[in-house]
Amino acid sequence: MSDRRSWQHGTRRTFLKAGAAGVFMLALRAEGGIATAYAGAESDRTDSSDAAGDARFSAFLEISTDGEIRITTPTSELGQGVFSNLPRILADELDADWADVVPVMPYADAAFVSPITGRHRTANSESVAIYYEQLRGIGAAAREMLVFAAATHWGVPAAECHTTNSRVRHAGTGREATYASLALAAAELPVPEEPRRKRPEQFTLIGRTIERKDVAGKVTGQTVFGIDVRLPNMLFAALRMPPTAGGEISGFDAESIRNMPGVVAVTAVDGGVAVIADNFWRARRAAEALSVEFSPASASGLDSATMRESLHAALDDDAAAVPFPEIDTQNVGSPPRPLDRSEMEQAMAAARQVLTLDYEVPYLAHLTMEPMVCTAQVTDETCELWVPSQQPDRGREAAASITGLPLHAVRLNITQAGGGFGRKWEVDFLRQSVQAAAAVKGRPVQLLWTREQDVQHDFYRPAFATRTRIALSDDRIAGMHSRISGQSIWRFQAHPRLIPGMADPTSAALLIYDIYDFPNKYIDSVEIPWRIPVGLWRSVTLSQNSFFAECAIDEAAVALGRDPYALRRDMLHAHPRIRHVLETVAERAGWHAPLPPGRGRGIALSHGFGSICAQVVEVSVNEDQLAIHRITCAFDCGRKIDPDMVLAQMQGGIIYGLSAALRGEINFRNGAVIESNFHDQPVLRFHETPDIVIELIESDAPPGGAGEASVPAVAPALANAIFAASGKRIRRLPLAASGLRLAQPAREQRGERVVGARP
Amino acid sequence: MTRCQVNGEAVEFEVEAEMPLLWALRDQLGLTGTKFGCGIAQCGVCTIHLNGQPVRACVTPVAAAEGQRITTIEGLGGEHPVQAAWSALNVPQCGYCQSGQIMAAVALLERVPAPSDADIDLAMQGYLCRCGTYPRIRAAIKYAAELKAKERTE
Ligand code: FES
Ligand code: FES
Repeated sequence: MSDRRSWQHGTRRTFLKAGAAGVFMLALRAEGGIATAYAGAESDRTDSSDAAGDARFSAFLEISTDGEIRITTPTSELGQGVFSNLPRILADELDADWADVVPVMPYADAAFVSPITGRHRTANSESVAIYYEQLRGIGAAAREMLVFAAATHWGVPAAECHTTNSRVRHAGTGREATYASLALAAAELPVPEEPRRKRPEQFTLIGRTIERKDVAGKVTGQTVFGIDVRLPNMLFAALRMPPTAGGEISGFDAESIRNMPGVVAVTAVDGGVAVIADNFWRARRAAEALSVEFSPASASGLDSATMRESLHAALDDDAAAVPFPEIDTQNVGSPPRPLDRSEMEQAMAAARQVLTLDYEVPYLAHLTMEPMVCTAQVTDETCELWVPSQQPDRGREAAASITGLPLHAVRLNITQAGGGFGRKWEVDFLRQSVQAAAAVKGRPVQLLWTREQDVQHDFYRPAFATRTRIALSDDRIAGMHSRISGQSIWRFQAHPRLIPGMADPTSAALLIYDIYDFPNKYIDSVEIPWRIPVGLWRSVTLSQNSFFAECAIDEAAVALGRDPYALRRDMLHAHPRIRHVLETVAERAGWHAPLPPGRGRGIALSHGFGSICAQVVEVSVNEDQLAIHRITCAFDCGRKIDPDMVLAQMQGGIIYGLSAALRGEINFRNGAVIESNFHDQPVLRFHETPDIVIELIESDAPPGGAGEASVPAVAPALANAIFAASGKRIRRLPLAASGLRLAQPAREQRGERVVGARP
Repeated sequence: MTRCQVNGEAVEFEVEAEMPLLWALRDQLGLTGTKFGCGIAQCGVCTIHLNGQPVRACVTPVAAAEGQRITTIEGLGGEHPVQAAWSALNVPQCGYCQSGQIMAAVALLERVPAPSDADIDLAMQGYLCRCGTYPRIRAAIKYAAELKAKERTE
């Protein structure tokens, strides 16, 4: 197999090997549960391709004798910043000089399985939350080992030594040694079971904006994304896919393209045919020329217009509705919702007024900027992959099962990803590339999708319709029933936690927010058994339910004659931390400042991923022209690893959510996706992006997620703003479906909105 | 065969004349900094300079490069004021679109040394970023303009 990092640090690596001093590869001998946790779990690697001169403290940490401190980030860099942020957590406890730290991309390995999730994956905005304590422990343990090595060498008490900038010092004797010089001895020591960790005020790297290690490569074109992997003798594969979502190709005539230039092989793969050639363009041309037959797909016959009718009709189907009783785990202490509708129905019967609101959202594609891509090399004994994947563990298992090789013979290297957003959670393209590579054993094959294939063969965020009934007493909400209809993601995934008789949480969770204090909440769901591929889309459940839930609250406020902000704030008395975020955004956005006619503000809140996000959107509506003047966002994610990266995620999430709210929709005709590329599935462009003002809230709470947290609230805040400005209720996304057109925003606040960025 | 100059070096492309430059650069020369995003001139991630003008390599046939001067992101040298500004403001998220954004910004600043918001809107509207780095790109273009102005006066 290839050197474990040569493809990502080629030149540097060669230099290191040539200049290596010692010749040791020290495996960590961890004993006991805690030590193992601090060391990281045992690796299941069988190859030992580490360069000479590296002291290996754990799968996460190696220190070379020439001073490079290599820290592997366990999760995949998708643009959310883990490449710098996770190594930094370890480096801080290690007292490493940040200039010495070289982050390394992960590979699929038991060592990187999170002790909290039991998985090696990148999802749920959880990377910092689930690896924070483990990485701190590894760094703290390694630091003590280095101190002990120095103290032993010098014959002084370890307690008298201290560390800073990759060095151990002993004040009494004035002695000093670099980590590089101590590493080989230190790595042989037993791993301390309870290393002393820093108090938060001692952090030197966590909580600050420091040099990001991925930026240099990304501004010079040197970063190796999945599409940039280049290996000796590599071939390129393009796909021919069926027109229908989830369809298959039943037959093809390889001879029809055998003589086209560059073509090497033609082979069936999952959901299509791979044409392998000496460059991608030739492969693609041949794939387009290939004569194929399609088999009928389960999605055949589905048309968007009738699908929308079905979604709405399903809301009347009382018998098919299953309740969603689960307690929201993100809000411990909130009362469980009842399985029994009777109390809610009594509240409806007793209400002064009942609002009935029908809403809907469309199917959505992810549209990562980098299309699906995976490079694989299969031999009789091994399989190696280079892939921008969010699921290294399942991807490796898939490759093992396709090739029939044992798991340890499969090496899966994670590359930088040109966006993920949940699309690269799926392993469909990874499977196809292994299947293609198996047809030309020994040669690496890079399989790349076209944008058209990406748009038409995604795992879409499902379309949903909801009906919300709100019981109103004189001055408050007395009950709420919200019913959702649509495809179940968990059903499509055959998820083991789907329980018969209970709604799929990816459809139904947070359809009514638990945090709001009002009685008689009841959620149920009608599942539609279509077989369109559906999956996780940035912020998942909240991507639709924040829109439904927060627009419903807004409609209730208006019916009650209450200010939508004040009503929310009053219902949050049991959640001071959340209420503070709401108050902050209202203040920052000037919620109470008077506005001219035709102009309005909307507010919305979302809580998920261990974080809280509130947004105010300010718009003008002039007939069919919508101008977005400003989006204000307040955010509390607990302790921040890097405030600047949190700001970037807030901006990015808002733009991603706004893009979908304005124009995101995937439509079907006879089971085939109508849209095909950015011209007919447009995304938000540079000049359309409004001013975004972000307020980050200081907090010592455990770190929460940032990557998805700002996506959900923008659609409801925007819809609520449009109502405030014009009296027009937006009950269907995207806004384009309501005939509203985006006018170029007037840039009122000149200059940079990036608070805290350098310089 | 097509002869041209890529990042200052003489190059011969031994590929079909109609092959888009994007694939010739990436698959023949190994210049992978230029990306593929749509293939139909919609996203801008494949932007290179042809005689100093930004063009979309995904729809520019190799034949069009005959005798011309091509610059890719690799040819900027790494210390271009636009790259320095991008680094200083931590513009990239995933980074996939940034080669194209940077090539577009370099061309803009060649034309308009101190661009207004409207100039920037006009020049950058064809360059998509799914990570939402637009606000930072705007700020970085302004900062790069300052850096370039400083360079000129020094
Ligand atoms: S790949 Fe050329 S413009 Fe999108
Ligand atoms: S930085 Fe990811 S697409 Fe622009």
